[in-house]
Amino acid sequence: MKSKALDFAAKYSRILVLLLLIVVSSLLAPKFLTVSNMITILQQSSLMLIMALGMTCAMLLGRGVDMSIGSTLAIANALSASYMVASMSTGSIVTGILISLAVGCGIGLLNGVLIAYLNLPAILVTFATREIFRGCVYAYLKGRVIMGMHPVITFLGSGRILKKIPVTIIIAFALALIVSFFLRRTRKGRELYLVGANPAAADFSGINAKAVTILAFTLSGLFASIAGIIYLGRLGSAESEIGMKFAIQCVSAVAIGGISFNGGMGNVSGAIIGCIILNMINNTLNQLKIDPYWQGTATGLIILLAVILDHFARKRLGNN
Amino acid sequence: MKKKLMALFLTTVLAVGMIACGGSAASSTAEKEEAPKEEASQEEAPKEEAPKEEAPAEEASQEEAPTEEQKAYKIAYFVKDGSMPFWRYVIIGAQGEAEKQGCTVTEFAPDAITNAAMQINQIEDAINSGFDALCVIAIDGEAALPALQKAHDAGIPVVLANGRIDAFEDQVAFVGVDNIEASRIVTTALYEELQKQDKHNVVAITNPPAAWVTSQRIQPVQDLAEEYGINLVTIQSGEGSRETAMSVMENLLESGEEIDAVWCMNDAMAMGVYQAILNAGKEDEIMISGFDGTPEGILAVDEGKIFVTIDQGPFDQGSKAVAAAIATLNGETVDKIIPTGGTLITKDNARAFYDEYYADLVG
Repeated sequence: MKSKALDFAAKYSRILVLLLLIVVSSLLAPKFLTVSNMITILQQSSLMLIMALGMTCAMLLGRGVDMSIGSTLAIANALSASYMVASMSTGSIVTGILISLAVGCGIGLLNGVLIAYLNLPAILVTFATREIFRGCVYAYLKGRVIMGMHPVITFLGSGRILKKIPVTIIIAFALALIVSFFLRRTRKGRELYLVGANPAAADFSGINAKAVTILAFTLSGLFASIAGIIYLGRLGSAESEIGMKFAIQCVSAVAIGGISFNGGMGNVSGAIIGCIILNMINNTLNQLKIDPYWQGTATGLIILLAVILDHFARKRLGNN
Repeated sequence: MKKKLMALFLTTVLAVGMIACGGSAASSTAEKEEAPKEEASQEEAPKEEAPKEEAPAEEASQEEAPTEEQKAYKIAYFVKDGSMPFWRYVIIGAQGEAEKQGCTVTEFAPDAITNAAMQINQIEDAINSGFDALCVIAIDGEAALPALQKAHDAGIPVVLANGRIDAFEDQVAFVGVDNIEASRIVTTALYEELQKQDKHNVVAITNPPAAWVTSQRIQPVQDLAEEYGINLVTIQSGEGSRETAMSVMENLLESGEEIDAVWCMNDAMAMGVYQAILNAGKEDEIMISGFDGTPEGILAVDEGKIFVTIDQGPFDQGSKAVAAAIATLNGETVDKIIPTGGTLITKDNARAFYDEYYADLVG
């Protein structure tokens, strides 16, 4: 009996962490467990989730993380925003979005090619591209802030359906479904897992690991630029400083969500839970007015806890 | 052979990455010297209206030697960060002034606004790199003291800007408005208005907790609270970032705390906070104050989105610091304190201020 309960706990360890968090937070903060606050947390999580979807694809390969998503987002935003603001017509929205996606794919492609052909850890390559493209956006904007987004973009980032549900949540949810389908039901998605879980076996099966790598990092860049468009609508502007911490936050979220750094393990629902847990922690810390000096410590401890629990959960499940 | 090619490629990629990484003088000067040429000519207009302190220095140098023969001094300008608009304007102002006088300004910025150690390393490297003078906006004034003293002892004049370092007695001049002083001005404006409206609850949103500037600017917020009957609900970090401040504000709004005003440590965060308040439909109930006087912030004050902000005179901090450095190198005396900025931006003067200083900026 005892073993069954522990098995259950192991399998659902992340959800249990989430539930524990909700219980503790609602006891400590009176206004935590309200519909309004839950929607706020979900909306903030949605933005992180969009990026985390791409990051998950990249991490499943087991080559490392994509540290460049913040810079990709920044420069995609800068270029698309300046185009859209210049013309302000509805047609320009479509082109603007396409520009952003193209930049995201382009940088992702560059990352993927470098990682695939140089055989380097992704973290090294993406650190370099992170600096390169951050520098590009500084040089391009020269300190300007591009303001005045088209109402359609604003709607994407700040709008609500039926006065209640943020559009952002709907977009993130839809994207999560698509990526989940991709990872579990399509050939390329399953190849991603295999390359990460067992590179030798993947090789023997005739899977082109280089192509899969390039695809995964292109997706990571693509999702960063999608998130960027949402941010344009949410913040109402494009600036060069956006996203400095996005990569590290995303990595934390997917780590909590059980996506293994070694690759081959993890799924979209893990990413979703990881993002919610991270944003929930921030929400609680703000609501409790915790001293900013300690917020980082608190967040770090909770992340550590989640990752350790997940480790033991895996061990236990592995033994059975 | 393949391995060697890979190693070469890797080295190139990393080298390019490190050059692009905030802090390198070579490539950033090349980019920036092309761009500011356009803006330098646009700077001429506001410069004509700038206070007279610059004029005597320039005339004096013209008396001693014709402009053609002004020695092409190499000046290093250290700012806190490579990307935030404020520091971009400082550099634009600095390079504009240098160009006018036939000198060059090389910009140095660390990779993050909190990286005081990197800035100090850059200062020490600059001492040995053949620069004639240093203009320094210190991330951490106390920590930078030894490096600045070394520069002075090596015969390199040091002009300080933006943040005072009174302990550094050998400084040529201080250009700017002190952080604490500027904060006092804007905080008083906010608190006075709140007191007038019989409102008391203030939330303060700051830059990263570890930043020296945070500890400076937050002091008046706490010190003046009692005098104006202000209840400082909480001080939270917005990391100096627009989107973090927005999320923090959303969370605070959910907490049900009564909030009458939000004091923000920079204009970008103030805009993020405004978005959050706007989405919650509380833009008429909650006042916001900013800091820095960026073009965006000034426009926001003009439009009533933000109640007040304070300008720190970024262009002037750049140009006057460089002018003071050049004047010192020419053997003239300069004023010890050269005030810039410190102009409170309210609805009354926002439009005029914007038109005077920033109208030429596009986008």
